[in-house]
Amino acid sequence: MKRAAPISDLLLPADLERGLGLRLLGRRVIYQRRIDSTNDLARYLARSGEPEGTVVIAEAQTAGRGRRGRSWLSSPGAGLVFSLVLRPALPPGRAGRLNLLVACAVAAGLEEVSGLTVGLKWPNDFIVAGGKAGGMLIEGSLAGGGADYLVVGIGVNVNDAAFPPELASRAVSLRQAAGRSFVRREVLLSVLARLEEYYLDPAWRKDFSRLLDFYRAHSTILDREVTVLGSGGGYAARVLDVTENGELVVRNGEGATKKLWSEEVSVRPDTGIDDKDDKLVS
Amino acid sequence: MEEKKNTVDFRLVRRAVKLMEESGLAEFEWESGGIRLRLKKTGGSPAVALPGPAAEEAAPPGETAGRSSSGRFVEITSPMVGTFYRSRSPDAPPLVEVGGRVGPRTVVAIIEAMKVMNEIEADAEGEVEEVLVADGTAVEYGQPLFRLRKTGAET
Repeated sequence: MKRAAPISDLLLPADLERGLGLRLLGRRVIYQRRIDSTNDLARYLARSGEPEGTVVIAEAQTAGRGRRGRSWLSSPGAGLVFSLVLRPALPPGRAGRLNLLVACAVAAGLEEVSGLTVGLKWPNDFIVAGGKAGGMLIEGSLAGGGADYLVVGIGVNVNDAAFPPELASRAVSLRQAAGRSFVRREVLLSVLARLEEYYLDPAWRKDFSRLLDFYRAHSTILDREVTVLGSGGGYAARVLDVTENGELVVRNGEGATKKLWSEEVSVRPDTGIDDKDDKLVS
Repeated sequence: MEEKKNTVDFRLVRRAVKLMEESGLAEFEWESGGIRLRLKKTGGSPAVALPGPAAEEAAPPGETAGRSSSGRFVEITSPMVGTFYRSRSPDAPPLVEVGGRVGPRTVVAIIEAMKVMNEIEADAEGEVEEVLVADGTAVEYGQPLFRLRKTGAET
């Protein structure tokens, strides 16, 4: 059922820009009632020279995408979908850190605002009460050695009262998990504040151990048996670790350890969420 | 290597192919006595290409990523190690097709590296002559992705 968000929970840019008070993120907020994909608009802007920090946010996203085009549906008022334009001066080999940094920041921000425990399911999912509450997608241009720009897209199920039957067993909203609804602006502020703190902290570029410890502590698949779904078919493996560059370290049935990139695998906890059908409704 | 000028020793080719299979090399290039041998894997087993006399197609030295130019053709090469995708999503049409015209800022492919979906721009003007890598395969730094037939001015 679609219903308009209460006036107080609209994500109006005037409110956001005033309320954010951050140094970098949200210096400019681009607001759309409806948009096909916040990442597409942010990417277009970034390619046209948009400065770092701009936030593209929409009440409703009609053609949102997850990793490799998995659809990311979102209905007005309940979900939170936004994209950030970043221009990090990253050494070429370090881009993987940004993914972990964003994952940690979003989890920390959601935990603080909701009081819930937020798990991280490699590579890109946020897990609450055993269900998928959100996800992220980083697109950009690492060509030429460093990052020209990166667009970080984040989607969170905030106030959904229910999901369609085919998703009900996998998707969850913060409202369902906490038993109360949230003001989406506050959820956004909490996430952006953590993102900015981590992103502007020069420590993570040098010493990544603190964030890596956070990531490990929040991982839902560490030390668990998973199915790795690669191009050559699936195999069972045990998750041993995640590296600071974002690789997943697994041990397969023959005892061999392997480092995995997201491009090579989907990971499916045997008792968890099926990653093959990644649809999310918010 | 004792070998007559401008003839190809197929034992050598066979050995090179075997070496590639064993080593997992994606590309192999060897030049001697006016013969240039270039082997390149395109998905499954290595495809053998014998471009003939070296002078005809020699790439400018030192140019390993971005573009490598040779006469009427220019190659778009991978600026990174990652997974090559021809479209933004499995259901979407390819970003470029053979015969399609591209400009320097045309996005021709996505390479997923370090969990970032990277847009690869043509960085040259031309018509797509050949797609050199299959969708969804791993690519190396500097590996040619597309061959363009030049239509614009030399840069």
